[in-house]
Amino acid sequence: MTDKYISRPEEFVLLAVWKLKDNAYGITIRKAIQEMTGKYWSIGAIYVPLERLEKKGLLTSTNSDPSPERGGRRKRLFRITSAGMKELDALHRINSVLWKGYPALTPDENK
Amino acid sequence: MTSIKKKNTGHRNRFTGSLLGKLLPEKYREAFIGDLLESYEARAADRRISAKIWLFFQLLSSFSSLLRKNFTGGVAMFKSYFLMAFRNLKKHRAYTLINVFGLAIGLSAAILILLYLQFEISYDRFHENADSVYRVCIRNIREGRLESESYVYTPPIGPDMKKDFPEVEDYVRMSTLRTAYLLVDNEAFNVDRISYVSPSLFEVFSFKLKAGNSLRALADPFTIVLSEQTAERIFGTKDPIGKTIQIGPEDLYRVTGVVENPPPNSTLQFNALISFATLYARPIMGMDWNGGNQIITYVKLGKNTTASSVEKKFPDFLWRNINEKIAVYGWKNEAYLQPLKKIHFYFDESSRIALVNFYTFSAVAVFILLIACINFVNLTTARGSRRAREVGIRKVIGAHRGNLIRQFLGESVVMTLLAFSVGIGAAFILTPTYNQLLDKELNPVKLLNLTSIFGLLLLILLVGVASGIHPAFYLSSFQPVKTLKGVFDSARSKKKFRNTLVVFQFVISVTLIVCTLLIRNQLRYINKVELGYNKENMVVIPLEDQNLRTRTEEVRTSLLSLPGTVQATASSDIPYHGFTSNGYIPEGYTNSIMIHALDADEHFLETYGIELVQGRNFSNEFATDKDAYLINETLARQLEWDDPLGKTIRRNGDREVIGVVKDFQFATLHNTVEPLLITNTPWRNEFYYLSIKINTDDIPGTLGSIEKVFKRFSPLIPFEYFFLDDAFDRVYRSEERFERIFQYFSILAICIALLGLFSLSAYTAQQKSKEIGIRKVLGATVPQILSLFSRETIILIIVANILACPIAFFVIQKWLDQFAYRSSISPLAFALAFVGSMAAAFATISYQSLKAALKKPADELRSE
Repeated sequence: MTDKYISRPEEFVLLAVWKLKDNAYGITIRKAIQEMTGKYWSIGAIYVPLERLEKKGLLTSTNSDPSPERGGRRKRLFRITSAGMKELDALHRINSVLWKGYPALTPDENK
Repeated sequence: MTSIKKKNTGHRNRFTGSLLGKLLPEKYREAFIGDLLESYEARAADRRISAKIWLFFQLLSSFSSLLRKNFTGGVAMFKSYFLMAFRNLKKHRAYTLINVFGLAIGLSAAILILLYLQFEISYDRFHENADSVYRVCIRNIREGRLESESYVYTPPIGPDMKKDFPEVEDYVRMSTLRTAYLLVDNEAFNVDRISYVSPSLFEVFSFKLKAGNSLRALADPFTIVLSEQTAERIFGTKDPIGKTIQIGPEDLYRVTGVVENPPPNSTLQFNALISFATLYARPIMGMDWNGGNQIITYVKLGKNTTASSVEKKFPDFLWRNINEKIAVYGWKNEAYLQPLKKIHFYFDESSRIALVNFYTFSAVAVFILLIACINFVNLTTARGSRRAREVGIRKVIGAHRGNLIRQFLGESVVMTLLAFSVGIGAAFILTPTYNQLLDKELNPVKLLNLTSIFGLLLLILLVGVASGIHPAFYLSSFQPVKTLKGVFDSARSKKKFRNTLVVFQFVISVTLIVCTLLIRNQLRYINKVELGYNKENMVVIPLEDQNLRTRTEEVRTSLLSLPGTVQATASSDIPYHGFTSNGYIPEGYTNSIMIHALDADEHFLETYGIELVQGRNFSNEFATDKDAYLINETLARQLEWDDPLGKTIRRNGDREVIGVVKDFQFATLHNTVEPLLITNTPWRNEFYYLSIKINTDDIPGTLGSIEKVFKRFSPLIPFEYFFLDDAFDRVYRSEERFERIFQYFSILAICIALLGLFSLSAYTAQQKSKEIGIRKVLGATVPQILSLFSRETIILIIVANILACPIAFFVIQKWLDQFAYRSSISPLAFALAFVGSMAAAFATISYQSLKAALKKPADELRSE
């Protein structure tokens, strides 16, 4: 657990990697993010938070075996670490506190 | 990258992909490219093109996000470099100003010249068929020797070429340009640049018809097409199509079209076009192979043919049509094709000037820019060594060598950028003046195309880096301890480098000075060349009215009764124009030779003050004089006739030579005097010019009374006249203009070089301030210090002069080649340039050296 919280894109990516379990690599992560947020990120844009997350020790990555449909290139498979899990827990908690009672915060014309 | 080498589906963007990969940490690269390819392949399976587009945008957006990640730190660093650069430049204002200003002047001069060069190059390129249109040019060979070269030829060559050569798709015939009065509703308009042309003009060339049918416009005889400008001049806002225009006493022409004005960068310029068929209906020359050489023929070749394949067929073609007949006289014609794009520089005799100017100005532009860039490099390097201490401190604080290199490069690039913006701005502001000077309409906006912008950016970078590279690498190599102690290499080798550049600058400057002086010399000389005839106070009236042409004697008699007139003569042409030439067979010769011919009445010699050296002038008393010739000395000499009188020359029948006139110059001074004969009988009894010698008592009054006489003879046609000496001067005006512009640019080049010298001397003065102080303490006088100071510069200037002399000599000799009358290359010009450059250089440095020499030594030595 770090002192600072991770950024929103990092949060999305971290969540996506956790959801994807054993199959988290560039394309699937991008797709998961699209499903979650409705937005397409460029493939390059995915790797920026991935790199930061791995640096912070929230993710680890390994190379897969080369596959033919990728022009013989290997995939980089990402897995969430226990630190990453803790981060997600913390984020979840914070988020639910943050958003608690959200509808009540909308301006009430009757008041 | 290893990933590139691996076999895959193969896409050009692979490279970009791997480039992008570099922005990622090593371990992700392969995966990243793999991801890209996998998604791409999935898409490409059914829609290839959209997949490609997708990939392209993927790469683009990936690039931007990856770049942002990598360079947020980098941008800040760059910002700091630029900030430091600006602060540094601000701190040394004088230095920055001189440096930026010098480069800016040089650049704006170069841009202005470039503008002119670009315009010159653009000539005739607007034609869609520019690549496949050629002009047929002729070489006249006599006894195996090239006699003359010509772009006008006989009328049938165009159609016969199309008939015989499958390569020739189309041809256009154009007569040489004429001037005529166009009569519309009893109003006469003097229109010049009229040409007889084939209807195919509008297909072969890209002149667009504004009104009328381009296929039919010039098909019938007695049809005329006006340029927009002429149409507006004659008809105003009325529709000219179908209107009738009278030319000459009886011929009526129907207007069948209005054509867009030819653009200024068109070699073919015209105000009105008359159908070529008219020439057959009313011939003004022979229309067969032996006819007049007055037709310019253009051919359009088919797609897959080359000019040389057509040229190979010329010998046989010309033999059949003409050479077979003239071979007995020792003559032969050869033909070649000249590409349309080259015509501007080779159109006629006067085009040579355009070509010479083109090369000269290209060289001047390069030189000015070079001088300015050298200044920049010299100043930056010189000042660089003064920043050693700054470098030392930066290093101590922890700057890497790379940081320092970037800092220095950044500074010089910023400075170049500044100079370029100032220079470009100045060029835009100066363009109107420049256009006036050049008598052209150049538009600097035209320079804003991709190539030139790219070229400019490249130049900025090049100059910036070139001037920054030395201090960047040299200074950054200093050892901080040494520089802080003040002990560092005084850079003797760098000084040698700087001196070499200074010498180079002055070689260019001195060459330019010498050339300017010698060009002036030549133009003065030309003005003084003995022409052999009198051009002062000569009023020339072109006889546009056909009615007048045959009645010149009557007009002449009435004119001579006026008080202000001295003498008058009618002739087919006037000197300085250059007379037409024909083939003649002189007595004792079997072959014909080309001789210029002038038709003139018996008063010509007296009016023009031309001396008769042998025999007698034409006279009314001898009826046979109508069939006699006067020849000039050159012709007599060429024919090797010791006693030419009584000899005959044949054209249409033998005619006797009755006199020899002293040589006079009847063409421009680019030519020598050529063989000439004068006849007393004009073609169709028409004279085209009336020359009137007047006295200077009351010129306006005389002109007024001359006009009255003319109005009596031809009331309809406006009276127009010119003074012969004005017209003569006009021929040399383009050369004078050239000289003036050349002069301006030379002065500019010298100023920039001196500016450089000035700031260099300021730098040396500062560097040597301690030395000067010590010398003064030890008893040196101010003159001694001054001489110490200037010695080095003076040596440089002497070396530059020595090097410049042969270069200038060579260049000017080449330039003089275009004149038949050449002034000698005067050594005075070289001496003047030497003294001038020396004095200018001395004056420039003495300000700084005097300042240094007059300082109190205590001030200099006190501070450490």
